[in-house]
Amino acid sequence: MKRIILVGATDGIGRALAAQWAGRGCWVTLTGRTPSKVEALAADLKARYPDATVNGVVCDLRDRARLEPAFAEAIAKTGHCDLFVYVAGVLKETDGETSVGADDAEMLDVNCVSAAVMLGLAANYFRAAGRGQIVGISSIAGDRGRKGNPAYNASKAAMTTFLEGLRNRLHPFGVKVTTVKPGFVATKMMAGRTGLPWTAPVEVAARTIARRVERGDEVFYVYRRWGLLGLALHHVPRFVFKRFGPA
Amino acid sequence: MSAPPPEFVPGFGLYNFSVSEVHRPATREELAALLCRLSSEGRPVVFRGAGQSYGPVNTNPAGPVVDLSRMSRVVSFDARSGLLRAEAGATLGDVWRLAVGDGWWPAVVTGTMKVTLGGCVAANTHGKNHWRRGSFVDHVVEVVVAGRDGAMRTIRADDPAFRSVAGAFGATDAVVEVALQLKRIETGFLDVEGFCLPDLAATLDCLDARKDDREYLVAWVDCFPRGASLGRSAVHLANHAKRAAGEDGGLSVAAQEKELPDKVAGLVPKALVARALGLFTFDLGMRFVNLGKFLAGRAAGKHRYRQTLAGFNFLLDALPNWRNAYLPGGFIQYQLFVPKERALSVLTEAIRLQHRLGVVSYLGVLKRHRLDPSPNGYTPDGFSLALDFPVTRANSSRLVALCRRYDALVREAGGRVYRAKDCVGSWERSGPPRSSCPARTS
Repeated sequence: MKRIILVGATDGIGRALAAQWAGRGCWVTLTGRTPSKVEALAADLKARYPDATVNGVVCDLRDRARLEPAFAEAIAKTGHCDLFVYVAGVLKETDGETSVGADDAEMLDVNCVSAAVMLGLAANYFRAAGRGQIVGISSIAGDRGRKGNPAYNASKAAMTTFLEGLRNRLHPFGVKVTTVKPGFVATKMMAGRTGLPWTAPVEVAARTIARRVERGDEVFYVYRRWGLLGLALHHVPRFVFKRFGPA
Repeated sequence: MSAPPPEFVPGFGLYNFSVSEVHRPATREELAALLCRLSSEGRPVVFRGAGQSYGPVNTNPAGPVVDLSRMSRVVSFDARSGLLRAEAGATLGDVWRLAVGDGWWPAVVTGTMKVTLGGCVAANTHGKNHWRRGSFVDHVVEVVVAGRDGAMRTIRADDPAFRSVAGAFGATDAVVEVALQLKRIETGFLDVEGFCLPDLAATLDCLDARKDDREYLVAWVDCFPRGASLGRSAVHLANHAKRAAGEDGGLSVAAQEKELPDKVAGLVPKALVARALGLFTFDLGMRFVNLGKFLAGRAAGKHRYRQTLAGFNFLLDALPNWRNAYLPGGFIQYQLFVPKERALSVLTEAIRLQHRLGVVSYLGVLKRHRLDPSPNGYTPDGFSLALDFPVTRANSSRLVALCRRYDALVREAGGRVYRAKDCVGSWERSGPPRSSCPARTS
């Protein structure tokens, strides 16, 4: 009976989450950048899970002016919303040494600025409703700044902190805020990278995320061992991290 | 003029809601100006009365809500003819309190007196006497409506345009004023006959057999038992009591309100009872509540008693805040309207499906209906079973599955669902066009 809005649902974790919740008969409204992909996924989910109610909203998160109308459209199509999930994320390949301005700007835009706008709209909605749950898919990459992709790290750090702020703001109103740091998940984002440790298949990741979100967990990783690693990374002294830290 | 800040607008079941800006005009002029402004902004408007519809029809996820409950003045009441004219926000409670002293009562009332007259017209509500009296709009003589541009017009009930306002949920026009013909009552009492029946077939037979000699017919169905006791029920039949010489007729507000007391059994404050009810709103608890109700009814045997009209009709008002017992998930109601030929098989299957999917209704209410052939009518010549279900984290996917099976069941049987009670989008899914319902030609 849950009514869910998934921002960035046409690929990867978002798509797998949409399938998870549609499989439970939920109302799922998905947003994506490409109209044909949004339509195709909505049609696919409707056909597979006839009990579910699936709608699509087209929204390019790089278009700032589109965010608020897209949020309103998603609410109108869902009827009401109990769960708002921001899954969209951009990870640009780098050579590990050079910053590319356009790529960095896009990562910060989608992972951080648009995330803040959309999550903020959801926060206002739930605060007025006095119920609901917000989920942001952040990343363990936001726990430390690393030499390989500082902009991605910064964007996810901003998202994690933003979600923490919302959690503290919305707590008195009975609204839950969940930060997910998945760790490596076998999605398009990770395609072409080999030899990554502890990589979760996307369905496994989605199942775990759906279960722990419904349980109301506040911050979690898909595999618990990522949590231990995150804790360890957090405590590596700066001078050590500078020389020996991962890319 | 700046828009008011968005607020929480819940449906009656507390499951559906919207976060909308709410406008509360108090006069026709304010309403007209408001509608004019909103329509120039091109935003879809939803009208709301007392918010007593179970589903989302009184909420607006896509725009502003115009709450008409402040427009609640009584315009006129003729104690000789029983014709009452009031603004749309006046409630059934206002109406009977005004009229009962002169021997008048609304011909059709809902289970709560908090509903507004405008809401009753827009939703075309029904009561426990649908077979005998039809639905609410059958007793409306005239309405004043406001179009989207704020222009007011008066529509008499014999005007074809009336049928597009009645039961249209404010799709085109807002109901602003209602002229309602009340029914004559000799006393403020009902002679109620209560008894228990062992299964669904007996219950359906009973309601069908007694429909012509009783004003009010209702059966409380216990959905928990399976097998031979499936659909056992407590039936209440009632007729208006005749006045006996030298007897108090109960034609006063005080007499009617006696049966809506603040205390249960004179001792326990009702607010506390609602809280205590929360302790029972889980499957096993409600199984015992239903069993207790049935056993008590059976122990009492066939019994007759006198009850006030308010006490009998407004059961939902007997316990204040009882809905809070269903929080945090709220509850939904699913009402299946089924033609009489198919009622036994379809409703039996409906209760069996609950057991199969492991979601059993806490409260089932069976009524007898007559065919409503109007374009917005939703009642076949048959029965309706209204089922209350709590929405919880544990049952939610099974509950959706059940509702979708019900959609298919209703569609296949040529039945209908009622939009005011549709919490899960069944109306869009299973509302077939009237012409494609062969079962309704009888």
